[in-house]
Amino acid sequence: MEKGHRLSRATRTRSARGRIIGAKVGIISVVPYAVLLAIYGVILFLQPKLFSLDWLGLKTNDAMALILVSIGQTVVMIQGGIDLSVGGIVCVTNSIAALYMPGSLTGILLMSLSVLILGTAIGLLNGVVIARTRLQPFIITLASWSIWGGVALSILPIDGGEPPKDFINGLLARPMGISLSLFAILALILVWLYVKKTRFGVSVYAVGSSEKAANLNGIGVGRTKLQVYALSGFLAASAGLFRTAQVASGSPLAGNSFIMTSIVAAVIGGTSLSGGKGGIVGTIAGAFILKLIADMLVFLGVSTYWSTLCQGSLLIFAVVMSSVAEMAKRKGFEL
Amino acid sequence: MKKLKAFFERNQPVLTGYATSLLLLVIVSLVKPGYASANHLRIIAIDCAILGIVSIGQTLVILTGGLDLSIPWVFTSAGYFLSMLSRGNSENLAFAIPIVLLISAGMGLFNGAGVAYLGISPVIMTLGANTVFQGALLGITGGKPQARLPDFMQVLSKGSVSGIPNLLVIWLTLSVAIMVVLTKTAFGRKIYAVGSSETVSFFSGIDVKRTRLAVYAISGLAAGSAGVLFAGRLGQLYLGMGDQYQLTTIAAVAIGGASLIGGKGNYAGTIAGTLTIVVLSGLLSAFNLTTSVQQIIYGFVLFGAVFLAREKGLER
Repeated sequence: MEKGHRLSRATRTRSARGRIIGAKVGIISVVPYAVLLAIYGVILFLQPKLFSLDWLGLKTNDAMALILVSIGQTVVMIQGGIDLSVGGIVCVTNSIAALYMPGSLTGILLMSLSVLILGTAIGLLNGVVIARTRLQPFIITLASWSIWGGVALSILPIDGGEPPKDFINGLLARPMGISLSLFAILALILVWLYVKKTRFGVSVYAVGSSEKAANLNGIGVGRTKLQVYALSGFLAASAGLFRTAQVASGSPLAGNSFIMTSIVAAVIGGTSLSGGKGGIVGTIAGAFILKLIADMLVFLGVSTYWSTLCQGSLLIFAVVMSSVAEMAKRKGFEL
Repeated sequence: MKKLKAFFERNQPVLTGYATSLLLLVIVSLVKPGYASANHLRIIAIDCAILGIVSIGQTLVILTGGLDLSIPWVFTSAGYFLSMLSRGNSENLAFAIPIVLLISAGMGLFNGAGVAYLGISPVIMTLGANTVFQGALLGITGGKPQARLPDFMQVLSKGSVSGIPNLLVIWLTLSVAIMVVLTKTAFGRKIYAVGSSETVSFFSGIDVKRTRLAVYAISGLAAGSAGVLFAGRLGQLYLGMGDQYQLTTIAAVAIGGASLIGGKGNYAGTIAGTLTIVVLSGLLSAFNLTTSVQQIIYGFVLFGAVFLAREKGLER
């Protein structure tokens, strides 16, 4: 699915072998789509009535917030980092949007814009700290998650808030009978396919493959880090907005579940933990898998208490698979 | 004199930690009379003991350059398994406690196997394991906060011998043991070696994988023991009782001056970090600060500690 970019020779040093973008597409990269189709197949087998665009739209709305967060997470992971602060950003933006969103159209637009700017600013701050201090992204974003989660709790101590009807109807609109979120996903994929080829896209992959090599090739490593964390913050804020409309309420703890699930979605979708490999199309499939698994369990009559176990096992399974594939590759097999 | 100066310089983060916690303690007792009373100090000691015991595992894992994020649900599971196995009966503890500790160590081995033998990044592996453990426990208990604990656990965790809480005695014993292991044994040296440089360790004939496996197993064991003791102290169980320890154990180790990249730090530092965190949370609640503000302050403290420990690491 990931087409090769022409990078200069230095990036293709032997140490980075197996992680370069131009790596051959193997069977392993088809796995997420196959799993998704299989789960969808089981659901349709159990509930044939669900074969409809309406249901698909409903599910897409359901998965949209996770998809947005996961895309940001994926880009950060391709760059070689990890972003735990998405949890805090979703909490804060969801709380603010649910509590303070005015009823007028200009009010809605201005408020949404400010929320998006806030998210981007938080992400940018993470990026600046990570690039400047060279501390591990994990710790910095963990501290950031704690801080912004705390801010969300002081804005909105308990679940509540009533976002205006127009805002909800706007985001959940269904032009031509198709959910807006389905269009949004299509648009995101198209934008990604373009961005991947831009200077920014190539830099993200290059920095993730090898910071040293990227630096030697004149790629601004620090700047790339700022950009990916800012993008992740922006997307997490969009997810916060979308969740506000989807749930029609705010929760100061809403974001915490997104941290784990966004990483899982990216990993299931084939994004490498060590950076330099992956893409958002797989991640979108991964997010759908996570959402549909819960449905499948319900239709199979299994208690929903087991769905957490399923998600966790799926993550472990996905990382084990990718690490086994990596090991096999090092020994000369192509999976 | 020169030696003394060198000692201070070398152990600056640890000494800063102890000084900070002492200063915080003085401030709280001024703000809140009765805070430093013998009775309350005993409660603080128990809180410290539990955080300190969990942090033993986190310290060892971080020294090898790893991280254990699965602590919360190993901790919680241990409490629940103990209650299930003992059925609230003190006589059953004789076999229940060893089994629970074995299960906890097994959970740690699960992490260790993924990190050491499959080369999975510790963050992802332990985060995933945490979800798996959480999911398994939710599935087994059906989300019900059932669970009765044997009375003996309360006696053990709340009791004291001639004024000194049992838990404090247990913690101090374990602390001495772990410091001896880290400084005097081959295993301790291997931990530092693996954390400093995996490649060099490998070529020095150290079994890097087995060392990694061992520290995660110990971390599971430490989290399980602390979970059991915590449940006894509380006299009851609830799902999510271990959640706070994901952040606080890392913070305790970081405040203690250990490098999160591995290879530098010691348990004396973690003790200082533990005291700082417990007294700090006492201070925050003495000022009637809500959990939201506490969470914000924890975030900054964690960042500050990591930032300060960034370049100069401790020697062992």
